[in-house]
Amino acid sequence: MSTAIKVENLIKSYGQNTAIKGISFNVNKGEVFALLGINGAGKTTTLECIEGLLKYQSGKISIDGSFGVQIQSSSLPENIKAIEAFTYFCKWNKANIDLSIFESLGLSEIKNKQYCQMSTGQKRRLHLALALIGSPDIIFLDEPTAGLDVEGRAALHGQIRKLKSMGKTILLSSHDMAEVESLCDRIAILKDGRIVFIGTSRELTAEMHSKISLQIKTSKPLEKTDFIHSTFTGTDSEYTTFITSNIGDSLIELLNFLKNSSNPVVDIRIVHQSLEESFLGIAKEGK
Amino acid sequence: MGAFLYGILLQWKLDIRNKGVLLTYYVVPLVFFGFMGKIFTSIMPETKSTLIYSMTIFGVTMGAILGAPIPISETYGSKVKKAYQIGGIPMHIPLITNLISAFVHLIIMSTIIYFAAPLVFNTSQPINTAVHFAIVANFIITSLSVGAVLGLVIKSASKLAMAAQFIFLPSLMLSGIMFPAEMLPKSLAAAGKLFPATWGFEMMKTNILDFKGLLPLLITIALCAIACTLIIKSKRQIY
Repeated sequence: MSTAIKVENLIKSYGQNTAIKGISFNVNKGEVFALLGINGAGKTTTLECIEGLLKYQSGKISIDGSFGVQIQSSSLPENIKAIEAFTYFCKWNKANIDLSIFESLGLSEIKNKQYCQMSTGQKRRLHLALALIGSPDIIFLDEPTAGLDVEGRAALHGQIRKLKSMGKTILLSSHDMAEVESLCDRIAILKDGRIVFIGTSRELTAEMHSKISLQIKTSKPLEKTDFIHSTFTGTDSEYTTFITSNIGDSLIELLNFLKNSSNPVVDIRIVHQSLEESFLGIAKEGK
Repeated sequence: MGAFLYGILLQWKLDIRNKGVLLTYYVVPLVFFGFMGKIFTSIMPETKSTLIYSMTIFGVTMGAILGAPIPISETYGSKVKKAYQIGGIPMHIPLITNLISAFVHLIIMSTIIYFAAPLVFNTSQPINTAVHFAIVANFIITSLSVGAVLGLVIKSASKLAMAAQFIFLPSLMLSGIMFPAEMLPKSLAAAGKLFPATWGFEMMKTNILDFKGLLPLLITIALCAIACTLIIKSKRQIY
């Protein structure tokens, strides 16, 4: 599969603070690729370096194809109408004023609405329409659904899927695990300016589900003990928690230990980490 | 229609929809003209000979210094700049379209004063209309260039309003449009020469468009053009 975007060892600093610490990844043509991370992880900075909005200190970025950009932190004059903004941007890009983009994004009804009168969702869709002017090969979307209600998110997700079906390459940033899992082919999780996971959503799901939380309640409180197959993570008033990726061996090891120490088991819970918890684990702790 | 011309037309419409801008381009200057014209011509009939000039200076200074910087600051001091940048619109274009639109608005306002003053207050008109409007055009360009620097430098609306007053008020008080500049103390009269309004008013009164009279305005335009170029360049480099 040919590469649409290639980022090699990208480094971006703001004064003494290095926001992006040498990240590398490829986005294939026709792929929906997500940069996922909590706030401050470096998603927007990475995107803006690729888009040419930010200068970076070192690294190499190659883009094969035309691109359109929808960024989170952009606005338009308060009194401009949707159709005027669209026409103005079309004219500067020497593109046909293709109102089918407006229709497909549900903007026809609000084409004469001023920017200051639009809802957040309508503004997002207008910025997406502006990004689609000239039918670019690659589309950058920076947190496209941030601040949208359920209906707005669903509509925008539908648009992204439609663009993918048209063969467009999409690079988006998000901090919403569920959104990324449902939309994207591959994901890079950023933490403190570094990529801590890169792979398909299936690989991410598999990795996430491999971590199981084993919660055990005993007659006597259990002190911190590390085992071969499980790791002690903490204890509350009742349960002591271990993390394992091998539930069978962990249970045998733990039950044998408790039997030998004459500490009867009162209750055992086996809890799979949710996708959200696992993502937060990766994004915050790099695990 | 080309993108540039469409941009000018669009900016014109945006200005009309912007109440703050509309007030400073038309409403306040024309209300002030009606109100002060009545007072001036009643208590000092000799001001009939200079009423068109003084009210034009007032209106243009208000529009260019208090009004025009607002949309410029709203564009360059906000996320609008980023939207234009990613939309492939060159960074200097919003400034130019803003200034051309403002120029047209201020010429219209000046023309209204030119035609209304003789009808309403029985004032005398300039000896040479073409020369008068050439001087007005030069004065508008000079004032707008100062306003452009203000709009590019100051992001906050409240700070912009305050900074603009530091130019607007001395322009009114020291240029001679409210009372004869000859009556001012020498230091204040000299300070008045720092403001385009003083030079514009002098040229309008004499109705002579010569290089000597234009020089201070041209110097101001050149300095402001250099400042605008450098500021826009620096704003482009941030991203």
